Amino acid sequence: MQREQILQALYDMALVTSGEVHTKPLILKTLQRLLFHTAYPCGLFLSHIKEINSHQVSAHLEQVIGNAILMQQHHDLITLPKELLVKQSSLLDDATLITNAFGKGVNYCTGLNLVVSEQEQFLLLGLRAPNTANIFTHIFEPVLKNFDKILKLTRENERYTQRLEEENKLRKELEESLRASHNFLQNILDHVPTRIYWKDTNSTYLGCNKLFSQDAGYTSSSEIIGKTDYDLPINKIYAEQYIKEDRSITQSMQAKIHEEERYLTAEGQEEWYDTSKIPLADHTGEIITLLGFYENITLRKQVNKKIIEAKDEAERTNHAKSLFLSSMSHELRTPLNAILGFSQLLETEDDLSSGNKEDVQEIIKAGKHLLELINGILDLSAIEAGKIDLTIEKFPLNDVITECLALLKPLASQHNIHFNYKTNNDLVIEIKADRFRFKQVLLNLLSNAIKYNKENGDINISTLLYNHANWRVSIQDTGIGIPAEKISELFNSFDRIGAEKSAIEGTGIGLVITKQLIELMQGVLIVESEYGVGSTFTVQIPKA
Amino acid sequence: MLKHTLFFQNINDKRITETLNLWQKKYPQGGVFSMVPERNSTHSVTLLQKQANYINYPLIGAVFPQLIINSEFKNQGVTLLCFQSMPLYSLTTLSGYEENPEQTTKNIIQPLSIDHAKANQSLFFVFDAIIPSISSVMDQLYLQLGDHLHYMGGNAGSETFTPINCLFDNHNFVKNAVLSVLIPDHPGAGLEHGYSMPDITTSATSTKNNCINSIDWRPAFDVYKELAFKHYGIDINENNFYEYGVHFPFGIIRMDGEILVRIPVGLDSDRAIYCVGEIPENSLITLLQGVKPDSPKTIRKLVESCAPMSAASLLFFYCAGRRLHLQEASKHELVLLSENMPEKTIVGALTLGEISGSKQSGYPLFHNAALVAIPWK
Repeated sequence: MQREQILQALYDMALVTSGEVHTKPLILKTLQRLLFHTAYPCGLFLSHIKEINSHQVSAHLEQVIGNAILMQQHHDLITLPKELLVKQSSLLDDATLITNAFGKGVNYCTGLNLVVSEQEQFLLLGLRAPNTANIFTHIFEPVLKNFDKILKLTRENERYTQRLEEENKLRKELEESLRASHNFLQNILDHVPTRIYWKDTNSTYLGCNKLFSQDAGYTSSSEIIGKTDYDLPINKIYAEQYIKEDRSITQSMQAKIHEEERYLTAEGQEEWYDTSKIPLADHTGEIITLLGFYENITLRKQVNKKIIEAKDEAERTNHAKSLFLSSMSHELRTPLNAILGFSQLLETEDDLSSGNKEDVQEIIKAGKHLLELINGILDLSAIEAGKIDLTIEKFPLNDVITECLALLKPLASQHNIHFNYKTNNDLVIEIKADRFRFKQVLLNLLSNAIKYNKENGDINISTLLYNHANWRVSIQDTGIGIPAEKISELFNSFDRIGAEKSAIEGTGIGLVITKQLIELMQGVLIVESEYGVGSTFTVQIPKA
Repeated sequence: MLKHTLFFQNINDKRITETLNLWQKKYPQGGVFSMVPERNSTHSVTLLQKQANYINYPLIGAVFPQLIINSEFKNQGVTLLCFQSMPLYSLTTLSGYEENPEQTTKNIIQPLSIDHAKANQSLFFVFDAIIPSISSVMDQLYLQLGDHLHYMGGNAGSETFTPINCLFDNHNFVKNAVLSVLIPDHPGAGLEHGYSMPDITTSATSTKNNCINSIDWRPAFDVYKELAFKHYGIDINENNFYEYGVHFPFGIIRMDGEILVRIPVGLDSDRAIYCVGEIPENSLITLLQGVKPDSPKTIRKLVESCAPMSAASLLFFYCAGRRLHLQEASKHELVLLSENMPEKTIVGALTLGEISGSKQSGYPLFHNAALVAIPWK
């Protein structure tokens, strides 16, 4: 063989090996070229060659060309005699060794092993040695060294590539997960009925929810990103104001929470917003984002304004009414006192006929009723006008109850009604209230219990310490009771819930005054009633 | 006596139908391999398909530039070769080969149901000559099949390298394909070209399939022109390139001394040279002077390689480029062959590339300017 031919073959082999970056084609092409140049029909590439014992080695059959039986063992770990894979490139001429090494069907007589490294070899097999076989063991040495280096690089490259692919896969999964998470968050933000946005520390929008982008005149939140308030279709004065405010918040790190802001639209309409801006810091404490959200509260403001106006109007009206009632009551009481006084004088006259006397008594009765009504109205108007003066003091509850029962006993006797009140004299029950007004309350409730009771009925009076801080006085009658649906009307002025049609006397404002007086003394009036069985009115008043 | 290889001068000869009927009666499991010359090939193939299909007899075949009957070239007629038992075959288009070589190779192999345990089988190929990657296909086939088969064959098509339908069976007549036939109990083929290795070699430094872009890093045609002038005193230019190409083919030299001939057949505007058959990149190439017209050496060696093969007939492929080169002397080679094998019927065709296993190893190699002798039992 000519020197030029050898050099050419080596040049060819060098180019083939150095042109590949993947292991499989590198081995395949090199083996193909070795077979092409040497004219052996069969070639193997064996890797991971390892000594098993003094006679045998194991090897991974990484590539095979030219023999169908060996092709079936491609990628297998095979066992070979040690003499077949010697550690130096050499010609093999022991046909028995080769045939026995690979078994039936692999009938090669000669071979050439080309050592790449301790663990890797090419093994070329044939029926007869090529013409120029004797030089093959030497001339391929530089090519095999080069091949060894490139093989290491391609294997390393594949390991890196595989790792890179795994990392890429992982990164893609993370990106997917992040995207899903981002979409989920954006979905939540888009369904929150509040405008939400976030900016960087230069007041550039980084994102927002759908309502905000719609408010700003855009169809998608992505259109906002990268813009500042100057880019939005709002008055430049507001834009400047917002950006100034952003700067102030990020510098001071003080959030602005639920502040109401007035805004004039381009059409000059007034709008109101409940706005918040919160500076968000990273783990080092540095402000990185300004989170803002706001709600349009124009409608709420308008409704509130109307409510306040209506309330003021109602209070003014009520006050005028109270003033009117107070003056009118005063003006009525003066002549009524004269009527009552002269009627009572007239009643004492002996020469009155029995008919006239009865007439005078009717005048006195009507006058007293009218006086009671006027006093009630005066009390009510004083309460509503906030002009009632209370003297809160500590006093024994039992005493007041006993006084009230004594005062009402004649009236109860007229209707054969019995008071049942058992008191423990050893127990001193003291309450904090205006004694006069509290007595007025009890008298009212007890007189109602008499008036709305049955003939021969009972009135049970009991006391109970409630919640360690209050005393409760319960007045239970055995009267007609109140229908459940009427209880809520019980405290409407002049509403006697049907009693006005009966013979029972009353003004219709007693319970209203009673309830308001109790509440003025920090107490509570509780009503329980069963129609046809009776009612229980409980006064809860602070313990002394 | 029933003949198994027959040539009919006229495609319309009624005896064709009679022969097919006779073969079918004698060999009901048999079939026909048919060779048709390029001239009027469409009419010839259509007629053959019609006749074979009429009696439902398996037919495969190819169109070649010319046919060979004993010592004569024929540009009309038809040659029929009988299979006593129709072998398994595949007719596979190779248009998608570049994209997926492994799958295309599987498509070739699969219909053949090759039993790897069986010895002495031959794979007979007829490629469409316009396919630029025949060597690569052979490499892929060898990767999947190995050395227990004998590889042999020749390329079909037009001598002008114009794409034509050139491969057929009962129902197909196609181009850009390969006809592969698995012939059991067959010893393979003998191949010779008679070219010897010259002293001067160069390197094909840039190639793609069958195109040599550069030789020794210079435009291929410039180097080719210089070499032809320097060694043979011939001034080759763009105008007479096609005339001289067949006389000065390239040789690809293997380290074991075997030479693969590549006949240049085309030139492009970049001064690249197209050959019949692939040239591996960085191949050591040389410019070969054609064999001497009176060279009996080639025929003698071919006869020697065929000596152990016993068969009544010989399927013989003769390179069309070689005939162009040798002119009338090519006929002399046919006469020599007939004289050396007087007992055999020689039928064959001019081919546009030849295939055979390497002499030393059986590795399939693609040749030009060669003679292939295939025993036909």
